Amino acid sequence: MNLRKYRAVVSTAMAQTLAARAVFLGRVAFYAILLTIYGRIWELVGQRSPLGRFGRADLVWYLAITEWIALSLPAIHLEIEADVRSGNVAYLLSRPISYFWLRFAEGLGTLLVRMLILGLFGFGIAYLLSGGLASGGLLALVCGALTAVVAATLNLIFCAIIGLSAFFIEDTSPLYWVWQKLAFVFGGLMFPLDMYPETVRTVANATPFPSLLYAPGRIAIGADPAFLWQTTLVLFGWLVVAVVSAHFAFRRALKALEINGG
Amino acid sequence: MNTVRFLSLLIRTNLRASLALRAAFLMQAGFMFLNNLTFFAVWAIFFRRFHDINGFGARDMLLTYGIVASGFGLAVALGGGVRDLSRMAIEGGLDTYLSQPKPVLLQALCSRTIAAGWGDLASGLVMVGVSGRVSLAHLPFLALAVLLGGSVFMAAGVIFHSAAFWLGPVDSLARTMWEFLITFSVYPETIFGGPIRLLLFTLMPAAFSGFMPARLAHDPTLSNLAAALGGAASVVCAALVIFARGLRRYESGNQIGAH
Repeated sequence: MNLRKYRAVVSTAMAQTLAARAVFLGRVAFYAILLTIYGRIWELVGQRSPLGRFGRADLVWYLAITEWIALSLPAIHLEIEADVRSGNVAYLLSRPISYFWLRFAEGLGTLLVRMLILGLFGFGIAYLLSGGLASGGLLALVCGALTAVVAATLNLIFCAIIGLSAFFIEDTSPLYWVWQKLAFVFGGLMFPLDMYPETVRTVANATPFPSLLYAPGRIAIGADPAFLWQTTLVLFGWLVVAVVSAHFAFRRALKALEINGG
Repeated sequence: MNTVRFLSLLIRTNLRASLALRAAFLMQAGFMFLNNLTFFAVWAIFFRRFHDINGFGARDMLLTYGIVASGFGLAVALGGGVRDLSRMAIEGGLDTYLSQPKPVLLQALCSRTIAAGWGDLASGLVMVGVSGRVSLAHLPFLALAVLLGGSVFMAAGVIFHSAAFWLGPVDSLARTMWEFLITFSVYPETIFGGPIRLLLFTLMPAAFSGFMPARLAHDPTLSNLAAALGGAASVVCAALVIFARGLRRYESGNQIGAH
């Protein structure tokens, strides 16, 4: 696989995303509002009952990381769906670049720019709201942020696979909603899985969702080094599964396209 | 009277349109139902551990979320055109309605139905039922609360999208503002204070799309009724005035089409 052309696609998508600065305004505001609401919720709840092993600052920072991942993800499934619906896919397939990885590279460029900009604002807001860093300190935050970038990339591949379902069912949104909501619940979007009942946690751990949201958030607020290594291994394991699944899903999709006559 | 009859015909048409593609309708509505239940699952876990937020417990959350989902669902199922209003305003899409002897806004709003709205409505009502916060005797007030919440969502959507008459393409911004409204509506009223609280009763009227209708359905006192009705009426009036003013600035797109 010649990676140079994909690098070029990534940088073009980055430049395009950077140019549309106004679009970020809404996303940043939404991110800020969510952090403010939850900061207040944890403050009120913490006044009456202990928050367990976490402090208010930890929970604000945890949300800052999980929402950072969730809000940075581009709607790649809709891009693929639009290509299939419009027939654009037929033109893109004839190019000397894999259609699937072309769309993924574009999505990655958008994702990276969004993460950069949302991270700058979101982390600043989290710092102001919590009055400092989480209990894990700066090193934990850096490790969590790096894990978050890998987790978001993994999530992007899964969403692109969902997009491939457009070759079979046309409307991919319902499938995406299910995936997204399962990720929110089993991934621990709003608060760490440590606060979940044991049974739900066991079910969640059998899915990729904790690696996508919980693990980066948990690392960022301070986890033991063993958890960091374990997360790294699990993430790369899921990356392999995702890439292989994407490969086979794309092949199946192409066959379906031939059957339909393009 | 003619306008009321016209409105009822538009609603009937939208219902038929929703049901025309039955499989797609059921799938969209069903997934929206699941979507809402999943959202609440996280809150159920939260309240199982922390019991309440400043006196706002799981049942209150179910009631508020139920009213918001029902109201929003009703608004987009019957008046899904609100989501395209800013685009119609700048792309000349209102031409078709201007040439007809019926209110332009009404036609534009009812020009589209969003099937997922029915799923929102159904899941919202289930949530309200499960909350146990509304007694059978208060069912008419529940219906009124959903209607008022839906009217506020619709009116706020009209206000946000009408900004296009002055500012140009604001489609993305208007949709984001609408999402903010939904977000603010489902969170406990008790967590907001100071300037944010003021905002929720004015520019971002979440108080009238969420907490006030929920309070009316649970405890239909005269003061709660007056607050919910007064609030909804103010937002609706503001939307009508702003749209009418904006329409004076509208420039035709010379479009020929049929709706």
